[in-house]
Amino acid sequence: MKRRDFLVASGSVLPALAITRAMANSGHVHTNQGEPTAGRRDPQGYMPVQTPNGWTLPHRMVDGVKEFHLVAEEIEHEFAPGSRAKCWGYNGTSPGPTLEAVEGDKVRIFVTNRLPEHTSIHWHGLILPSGMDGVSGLTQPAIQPGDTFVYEFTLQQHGTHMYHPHADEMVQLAMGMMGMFIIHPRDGEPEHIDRDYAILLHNWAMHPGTSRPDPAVMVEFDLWTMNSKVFPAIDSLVAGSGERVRIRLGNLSMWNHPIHLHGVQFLVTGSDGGRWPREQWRSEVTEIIGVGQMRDIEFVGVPGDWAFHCHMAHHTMNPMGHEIPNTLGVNQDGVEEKIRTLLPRYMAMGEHGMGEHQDHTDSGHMTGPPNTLPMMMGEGQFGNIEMGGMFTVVKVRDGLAAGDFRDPGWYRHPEGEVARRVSADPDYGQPARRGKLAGPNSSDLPVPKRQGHQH
Amino acid sequence: MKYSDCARRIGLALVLVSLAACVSQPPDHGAEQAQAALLARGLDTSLQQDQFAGELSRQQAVQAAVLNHPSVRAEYARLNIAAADVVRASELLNPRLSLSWLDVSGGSNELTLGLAQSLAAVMLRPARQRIAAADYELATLALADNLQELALATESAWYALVAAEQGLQVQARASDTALWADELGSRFAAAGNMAPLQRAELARSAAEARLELLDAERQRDQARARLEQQLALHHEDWSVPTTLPLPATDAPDPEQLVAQALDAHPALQTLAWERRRLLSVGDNARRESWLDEAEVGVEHERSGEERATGPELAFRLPLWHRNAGTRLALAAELELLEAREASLRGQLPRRLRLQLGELSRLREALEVRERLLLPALAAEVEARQDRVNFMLDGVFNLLGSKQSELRAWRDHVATLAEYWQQQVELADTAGRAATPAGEGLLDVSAVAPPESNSQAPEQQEQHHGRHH
Ligand SMILES: [Cu+2]
Repeated sequence: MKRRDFLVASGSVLPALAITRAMANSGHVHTNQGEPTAGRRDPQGYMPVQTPNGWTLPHRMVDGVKEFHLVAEEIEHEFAPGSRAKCWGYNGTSPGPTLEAVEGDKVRIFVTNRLPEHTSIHWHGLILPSGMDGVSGLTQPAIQPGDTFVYEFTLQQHGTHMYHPHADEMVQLAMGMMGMFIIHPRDGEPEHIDRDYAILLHNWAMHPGTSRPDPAVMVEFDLWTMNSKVFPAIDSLVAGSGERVRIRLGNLSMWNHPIHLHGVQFLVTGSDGGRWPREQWRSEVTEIIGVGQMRDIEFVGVPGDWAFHCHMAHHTMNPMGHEIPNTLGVNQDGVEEKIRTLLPRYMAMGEHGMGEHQDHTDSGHMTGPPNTLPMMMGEGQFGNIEMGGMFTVVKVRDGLAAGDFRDPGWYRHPEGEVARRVSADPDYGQPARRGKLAGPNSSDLPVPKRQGHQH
Repeated sequence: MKYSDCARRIGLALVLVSLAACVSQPPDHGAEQAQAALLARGLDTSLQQDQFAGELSRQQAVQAAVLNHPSVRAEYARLNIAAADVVRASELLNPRLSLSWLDVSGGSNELTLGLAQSLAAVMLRPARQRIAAADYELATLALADNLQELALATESAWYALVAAEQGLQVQARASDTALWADELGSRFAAAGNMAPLQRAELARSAAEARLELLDAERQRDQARARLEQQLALHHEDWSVPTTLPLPATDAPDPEQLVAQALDAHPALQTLAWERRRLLSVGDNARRESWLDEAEVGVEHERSGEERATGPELAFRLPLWHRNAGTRLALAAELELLEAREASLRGQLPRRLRLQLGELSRLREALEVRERLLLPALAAEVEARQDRVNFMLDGVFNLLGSKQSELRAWRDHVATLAEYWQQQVELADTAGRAATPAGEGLLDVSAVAPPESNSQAPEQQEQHHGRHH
């Protein structure tokens, strides 16, 4: 059956519920979920950080000390509609709430352990007394279930930092325990920032059909997330035209991620070491965020919908098998029909590429394992986006109010500024072509001679 | 005259005895009695001749065998021989007439006229008749037993053929999965997407699947030949259903079955009749020792003008030979019978319980397959399909899962076939002439639909001759 027929057929037989769910999965229903920050400067002078799909932990001032309270606990997390899991996080979410303070602040952080096992928190990248570093066994006793510990130190630096457990790390990181710790410079920024985003990169062994991450996996991960979400559930990064935007990226996954932003050359302005001196800023379009590293990138918003994603192709996909037979170019005519006599749901796919796959999964007639996302998702104003994982959109619009982090919908392109079809004839024009073109009469691969040496 | 009266009476008696000998008819209740015995053992053989064409039910197959099998004719002939023996046992030796003429010196002559009848024949006749009657009963029982054996052998062959047909149907589809995988393998290789190693693995699996199919076909052919022999039909236009019956839900109560068998097992009935026959033989032997060659008669003598008539009696004096050897042999044979009966009564419950145990194990295996294994494999196929849909697994995994499922169904058919063969054996042990009816049929059409229903003509052509 051709894809068209399938779509027609599926429309007539699928219950409405399945279609709605499929449409939700595909990205028709899409609003930003992150708790919007004020969009105006804090009395201490900084522009508050916006955590897409996340939130910032409120603090109390007690005798000149900023007090935070983190709770390590089991949570129910949704990676995108259609994929939920029992995870571990802080204060109800993964990533945990973003901690935000200013260089020179005294902070007191209570940590209550509501997990079934002991934990600790390591303040990744912070300069502090050794006993506050949070390595259980090495610098402190572990925080036992039910116990509350307090960490107290003065912030001696600025920059993008992270926090995560340093106890049973393999399990606790795999389960989603992590958060961002943003320290603004006491003396202000060299460049005035209008929107400051914080994104934590992670990977998850959420095997298809299961509902709890598998901590034993080291390489073959299923989900690649920004702030523990996959496309199309990752918030769009919204900015006004001409606004200066910073995106802070931290990586607590087990792979490096070459993060690529379309439409601008961004400046890499900071790293684990805090804000770099201006003369060290460099212009890039892709920046590798190594495992355990942080990077800040900055750019001025240019109107449009700009893809923002990891450049590892498999990190912008949802789960898929890596040892499946390669169906590209394989004609299954005749055999497919025979197979269907025994396996009526079988459909040969991928002879001409995988592009058709999203249509089948979106329409809902091609069901997958329970609690599992299809590998390609998302629909834009021009069709399927065919992405997943670490992919989202930077949406820059004119006349956006400060503090407006709502999803503005798809970009309205000015007349004549969208690529368009000029011909439906493959022989159109006189393009220069070189090399050997593949076709039905292409010769087979060469077979090496194996006749041994001739003396 | 006193003597003359006496002789007249004796003559009359002889005539009566002779007449009595003439009225004995051959018994003809044996066939009916065998039929009744079989009916009591669960087999109705009274049905009329049928066409026996097209799809034969188990009952029809048994009926065809009972009516057509050449051995049945021999069984009836044997019964007729026993019937003839009954007649023979009631026949008396013919009376002996003696005549002598003597010329006496002096011109006179003497005529002696004698009529004698063997006394033994008369006196031993009831015992011999009892022996022949017992022989006839035994022949009747043997007829029933042999018909039963024929019926059960036919049932066994019928179950085997149905199982082989159904097994073949499932195996054909199981083999298909490997053949298709191989066909797909060649497409993948043609596209440049499959290395020689995997290509060879798929080709190997396909060849093995072909061999499995050939094996299933061979088994079917053998089973058909076996049933054909039982049916002894004169045409080829017959078949059997391709779905095995499922076991009835309520299993027989072992103790009741044992009690029934000890009460009315055909082998025990036969032993009882053999015993009665032996007792008659013993009775006969006892009389024989006195009466062998004994004769009564009447003699008439005329000498000149003198007439003399008088009775005659002759027998051997049992001085040295009293049939002692025969009686010892009989006693030993009785002892032997008792030993056989004791052994049978001892063995029957054990063998019945063993076979019932075997049956209940097979039922359990069927239940585990039906309730747990087959649903699990169906779920595996569905889950595999879901994974294939989401690009988590490939088509070869899917075909592999389907093959595992179909192989389990094939094993299910084999276990069910074994179950019914065990029922046949149980019937044989318990002295029943038929296996119990099943409840419902094993339906494989959902998991292994027959190929002809679902295939395009072009594909049917490719499969032509593989199965039918
Ligand atoms: Cu990546």
